[in-house]
Amino acid sequence: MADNILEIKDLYTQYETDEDTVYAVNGLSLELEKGKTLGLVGETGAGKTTTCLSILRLLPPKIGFVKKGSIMFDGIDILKLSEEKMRGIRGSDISMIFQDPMSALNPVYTVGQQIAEVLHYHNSKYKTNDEIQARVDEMLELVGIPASRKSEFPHQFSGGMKQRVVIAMALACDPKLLLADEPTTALDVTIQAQVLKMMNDLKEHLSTAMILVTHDLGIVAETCDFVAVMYAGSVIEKGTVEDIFTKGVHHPYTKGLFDSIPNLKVKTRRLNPIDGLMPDPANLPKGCPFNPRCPHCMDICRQEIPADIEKDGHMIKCHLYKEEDL
Amino acid sequence: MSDLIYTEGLKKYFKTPAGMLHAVDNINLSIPAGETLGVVGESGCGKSTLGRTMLRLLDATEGKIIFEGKDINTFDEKQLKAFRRDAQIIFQDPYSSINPRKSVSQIIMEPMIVNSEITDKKERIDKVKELMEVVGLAPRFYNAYPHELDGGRRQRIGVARALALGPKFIVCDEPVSALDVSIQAQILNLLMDLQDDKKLAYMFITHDLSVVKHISQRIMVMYLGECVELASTDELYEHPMHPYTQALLEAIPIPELGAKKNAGTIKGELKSPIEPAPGCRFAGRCPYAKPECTGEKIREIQITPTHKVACTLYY
Repeated sequence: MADNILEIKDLYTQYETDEDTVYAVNGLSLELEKGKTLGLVGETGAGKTTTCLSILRLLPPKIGFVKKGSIMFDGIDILKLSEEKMRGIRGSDISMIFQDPMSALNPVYTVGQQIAEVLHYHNSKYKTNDEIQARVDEMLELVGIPASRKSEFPHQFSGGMKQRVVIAMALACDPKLLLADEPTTALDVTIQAQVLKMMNDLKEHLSTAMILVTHDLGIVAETCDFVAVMYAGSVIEKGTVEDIFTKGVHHPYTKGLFDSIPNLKVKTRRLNPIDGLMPDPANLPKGCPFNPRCPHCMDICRQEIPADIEKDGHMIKCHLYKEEDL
Repeated sequence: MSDLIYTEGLKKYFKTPAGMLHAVDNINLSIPAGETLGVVGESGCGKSTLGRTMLRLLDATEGKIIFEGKDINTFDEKQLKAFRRDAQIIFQDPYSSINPRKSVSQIIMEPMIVNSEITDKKERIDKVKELMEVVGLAPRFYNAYPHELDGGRRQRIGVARALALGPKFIVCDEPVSALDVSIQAQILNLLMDLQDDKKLAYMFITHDLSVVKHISQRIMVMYLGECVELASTDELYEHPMHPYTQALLEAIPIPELGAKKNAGTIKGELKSPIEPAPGCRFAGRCPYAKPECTGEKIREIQITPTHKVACTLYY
């Protein structure tokens, strides 16, 4: 498919330490069309951040390894690129917004200098100092910060403003793909609403494709075109937002996630959480990784990892279903 | 008054080089036994300070906190120690609120030793085991250390410790915000079961409006130290009256398609709580702000017996 900006096939990423091997990503496949937004949903330890770091090749050196699989970005397999070429892509073609704006900015440089730094490194379009400064002003205005504040330091900005600076940095080189790792988790709801609205506007305006990592299904419903639900390092269900939010057939884990959220409209006395905990990625159960917590667990679930069942783009990885069920 | 605990004009100011920081300003609230009051607001609005002042972990600047008919601000050390058995707190972060060098059993047992509640060692051990069962911690964790446990289980230790002395009132300071949704639901269920069982009163501090709706009978919305709206949960969600409450409710992302409301998000951010100007503190961000919103103190208007709001729109 030519219009996919990103295609991940059968990705395995592991962290190896002296004590044990952590199987963080296990056979993950994803694709993302140009200009669309994919929501990557899952709980802590599902491998969402590891997936992003694998795409950017920013796994911790000597510990994190991509063992198998391919990541095609715009027709190039980025796992095969040299480190030098990769550095050219990172920050310009693919950029990332980190979760915590307080620690993603350097406290001893002004925000203007930090945005300019990205442009200096990837100075394809903006060469002279004046051009770079003009671009910095433009980016700050774009995210709703007066350009006059560019000579201020991060501590002079509030949390929401810092996150806007981080977004301005990430967008400075017109990336084709933006990885946003829980961009609003550290923010208050009203500020979160402002930042999400801004990201939505910018995305339409700049037609950047985006992977939005989050555990908040509300944010997914508001901003994403496609959704992939991750559990223990693999995608257990994916499809369009309509598939996930309106169809009746779901992976038991997806259903459990929805049942765990207190609903604002319906009154329930008790929530129906999923029993138990996410398995230890260093010690995954045999068969389907969800089987110890699954209310529909069958014998086959403890033996074999289920295959992907897919129909019209809606995929579920579960022994419960066959293609005609979807 | 049948309320277990109530406050009258409670204030907590902090001295800063720039002037007085009004963290909690003129709060009147009440919580009957067996009920939950939710306290909602954004970071920096003074909700945690309020929680701590209610337990006298911080001394109030002005105002009364009446617990079972007595003002806790007048308690001497002995009375305060007795009050500590009745009123407990569950902290937000289960990673930093428990001592990493103590085992689970030592952590849960500590309040009993400090308060010489149970002197017999064997009885104490039995009580710890019983508490662990109540909060759903498997007996095999009896000698485990906190680092061996995940966030949800650690938060259960926090709950068990708070319950150790049989309190009547617990301040829950964002007890689930550090946890994943499925674990969050487990802890919420646990807290509600305990409430039904032991007639506990909770003050539930959170910024998550869907969680607070689920657990509370009444909700207080705070903005920069002040209570802007206090109502029963149903009234608050059906007829939010204060513009800030309305904005907060609109800002929650709803996990449902088509729920997208293109409502105007409120602009701007929280102002500094240091020496705030008289008048409505939300006026700078409020879409309905009028000249009368600034300059004078805003009165609380009682709309129905269970709903009050501090806004000039309802004068």
